[in-house]
Amino acid sequence: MSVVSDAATVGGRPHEPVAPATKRPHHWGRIALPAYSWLVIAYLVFPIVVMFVYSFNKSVGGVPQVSFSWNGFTTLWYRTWNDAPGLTSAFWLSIRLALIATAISTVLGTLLAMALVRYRPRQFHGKGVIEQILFVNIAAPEIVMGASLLGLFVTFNIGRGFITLVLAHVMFCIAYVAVTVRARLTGFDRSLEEASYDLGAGPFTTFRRVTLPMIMPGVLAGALMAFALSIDDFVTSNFVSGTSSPFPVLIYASTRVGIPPQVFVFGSVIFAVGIALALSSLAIGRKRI
Amino acid sequence: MMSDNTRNDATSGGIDPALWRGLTQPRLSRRQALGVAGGGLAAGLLFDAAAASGASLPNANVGSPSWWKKQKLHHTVNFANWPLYIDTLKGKYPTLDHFTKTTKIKVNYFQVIDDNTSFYAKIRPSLAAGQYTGYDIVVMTNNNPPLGYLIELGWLIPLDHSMMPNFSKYAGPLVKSPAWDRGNKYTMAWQSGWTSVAYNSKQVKNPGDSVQLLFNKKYAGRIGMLSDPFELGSVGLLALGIEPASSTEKEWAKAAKLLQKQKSDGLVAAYYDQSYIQHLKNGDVWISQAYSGDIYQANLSAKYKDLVLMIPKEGLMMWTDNMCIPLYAQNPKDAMTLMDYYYSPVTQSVVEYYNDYICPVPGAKQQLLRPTSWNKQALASLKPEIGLPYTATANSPLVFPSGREQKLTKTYYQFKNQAEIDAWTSLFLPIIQGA
Amino acid sequence: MPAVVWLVVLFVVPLVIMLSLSLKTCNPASGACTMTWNWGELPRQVNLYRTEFFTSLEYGAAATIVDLILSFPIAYWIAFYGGRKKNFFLMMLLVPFFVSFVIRTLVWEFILSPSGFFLTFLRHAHLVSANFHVLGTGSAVIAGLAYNYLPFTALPLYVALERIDRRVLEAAYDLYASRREAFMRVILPLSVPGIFAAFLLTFIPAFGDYVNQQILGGTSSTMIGTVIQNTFLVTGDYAAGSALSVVVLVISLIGIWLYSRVLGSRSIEEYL
Repeated sequence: MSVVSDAATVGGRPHEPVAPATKRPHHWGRIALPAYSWLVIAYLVFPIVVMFVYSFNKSVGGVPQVSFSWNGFTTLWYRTWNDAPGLTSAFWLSIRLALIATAISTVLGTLLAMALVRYRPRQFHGKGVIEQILFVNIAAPEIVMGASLLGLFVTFNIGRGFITLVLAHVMFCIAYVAVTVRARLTGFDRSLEEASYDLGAGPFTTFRRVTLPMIMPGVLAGALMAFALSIDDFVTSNFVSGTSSPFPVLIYASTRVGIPPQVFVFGSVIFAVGIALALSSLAIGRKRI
Repeated sequence: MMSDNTRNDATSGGIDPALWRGLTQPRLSRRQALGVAGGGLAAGLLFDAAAASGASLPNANVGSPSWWKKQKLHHTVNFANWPLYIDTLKGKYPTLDHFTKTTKIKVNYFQVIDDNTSFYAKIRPSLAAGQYTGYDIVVMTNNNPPLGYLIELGWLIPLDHSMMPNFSKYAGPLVKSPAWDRGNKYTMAWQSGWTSVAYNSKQVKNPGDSVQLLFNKKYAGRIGMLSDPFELGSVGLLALGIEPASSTEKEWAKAAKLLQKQKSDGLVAAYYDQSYIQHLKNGDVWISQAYSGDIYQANLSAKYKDLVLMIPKEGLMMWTDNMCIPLYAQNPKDAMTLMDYYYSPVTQSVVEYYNDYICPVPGAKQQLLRPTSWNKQALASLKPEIGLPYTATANSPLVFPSGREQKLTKTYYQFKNQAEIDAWTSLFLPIIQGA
Repeated sequence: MPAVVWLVVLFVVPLVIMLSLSLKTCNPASGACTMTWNWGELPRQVNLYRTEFFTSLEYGAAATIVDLILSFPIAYWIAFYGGRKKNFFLMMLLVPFFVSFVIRTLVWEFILSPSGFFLTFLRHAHLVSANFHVLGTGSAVIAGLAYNYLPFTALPLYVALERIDRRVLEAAYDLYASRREAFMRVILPLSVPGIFAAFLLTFIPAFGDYVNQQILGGTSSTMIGTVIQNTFLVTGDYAAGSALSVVVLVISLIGIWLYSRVLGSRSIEEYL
């Protein structure tokens, strides 16, 4: 969810005009509160530092497994990042899966959001029911969704693999995309579309030239959220993956027999790339404002 | 989906598989309902299930000589095995590499089996759906129900005995036509082993020679037990001085009570699958139920020299892991070639030098003492890593068992029907899973 | 609408199937399930695993409360005093999400392990006793849950606090409210919907979680998620697993229903 809420704020959610705080922050507001906040931030960052440090830890007796104790510094795991059996291919599988799930769920979720905003309950039967489904879908525990999907596939004898992963991932992304896009559509000015029709544009041209550019920030935020949800999903994937394991499922499975040290290399690199992208988007966002 | 349905159609004589399910399942459910109501009446369930699925067996011809004749080599084979179960050198597998070099068959080796039941739960939906599980060879243990299920349900491809020259020549008496698969119709053993107790001699002084060590309050929170209900229950029986093979349901209940108490007293750190060995190595667990070969392999590294395998006076549980070919396997001929390759004493000598489980090929002992072929070089390259003379393995009673170990060897209870399995699991599974 | 079809076929229908599976009897060999209208399975499973249900409720609630206490001040600080660095601070709250969920839980195992360098260091500094161990206990699970779900609490709180109209606050001060009174009688009441949303969005996933328990917990801390995972993926007993899942779903639905009764089902989207 995360990255997206962030993006949503960066893009500028319609807020009340923020009046400057009338009173200067109280003394605890000046010292204790920031100090506390930085402490919480340190707590959030600490495990990531630990991960980074352990990615340079030597292994015991030449067995390529991470060990809890510190055995000395090595860059071996960065040089042999591709050597952990199955890890790299699981990573690419996760990327492929996330891209496909994001593409499908963004299109479907956006269309759903538009329908929900445009039609009144009287024109659109079952609108209330659909809204309830979206809400429950977002709030329901993942283990129930994963378990029930497994029940579905087993009942209809559907073999599990990449296809079932895509089906499941799109399912849990749609609601998030729809809700994110709808939040942006609520203030949408329909008279612009009407003007476009008046000027002789067809429905397709109107959508492409008028509607889409206006809802684009919302669609992007939705897509980002879908991507983040899909790439990090473990619980549902673990139930529906069969023999093709995405990245988180493979790592979880490897905890039973010893984690290859390259896991922390992947973790550190993905973290660095993610943070770099987020920081640059922050910088760009600030410039635009 | 489509293609699988059509495959099913074609093979079961053009009848819709859904219809088959409709025809076969009510019989099951009636028996099951009776079983639930009347306890012992469910006895025939396992055989019923077999009959049911036998009727809808996708291809009754699979595994027949004519079927085998039609199979071709695809020069690839997907092999699912337990972790740390094959000769390994710097992330490579010497015996597999040699196999690929000489036969041009590429082996994808997956160390994915941590536990029989969970692996079975993983492949079962594919088999039920009439699909390739992703593996051409799987390795299942004789002390757990899944191997029996696979055989009874017709989910294994009968082996091609014309492709087993090494097996017929070199297989030892322990694995030739065993009780669980007469005539080796479906399986060839990979390795056998013992389940015993291991401890860290640095942390555990005066361990004694009894499984009672697992119930010593002094080590509360430092004791690991196996999450396999059949291993767990068996050690409970041993602790009570009961012979597992001839035990009764009443005695199972006693053992369950003992193990439940062990848990509620806070003695057990956790119930582990194959991962127990990590916890022993990490030092957060000091004593654990353990498989013989794992401890030997851990000892190869100087850091884990303190781990000791106990030979308890109550006995050692012996099991055998069996290679078999699941139905719908895509490369059965390649699988047969690989399985028989492991029955050459030359191959086994390399595997055993690393593995230290009970060897299915007695002739491997001579090959360890006097290597005659490519194993000379393979063994030499493993030697710096292992740091033991070949004679140590060749004379190890854990690899080529001697009198004392054979005398202490116990076998698991042989279940007669599904009701007994249910009775056993309903006693021991709740201890592992909670409550 | 294809999206609705997708959700119905892959979300609603599976839940219905799960309900029906919980009334079936499954063959342990073939995995085939037949309808036996076995109404007894649900109460039997609940009774068998009631300890795990309570453990899950307890850990879920504890982690959520820890998160609320941890994140309210920081959300307040960012919303009111974040100034131009707001987005930067929000990103810092989200930092854990840039590392995969399973990996960050694993890292906690490393931090809490008695042989890991963190506890070794604390032992050498005599900050903890030689026998101190937390890995494998309920506290470790709660710590892991609290860490993993903290952003789910902090963000809704931030959104709620951010939306408070500063003019209302100003009016309070104009009416000679002290800071304390302004906080207690303006800010806190106005952030209640956010606290509600934060509670819902943190408690439900924490309640159903099993990864933290599996990696950080021990036998005395088994949560219901672990049991469900095991019945489905280890023992392959779909009927028992479905019965347990139905109970988890019902507990969650009660929370969801309460929330939407009080605040409306659409309001959740403002906090995502």
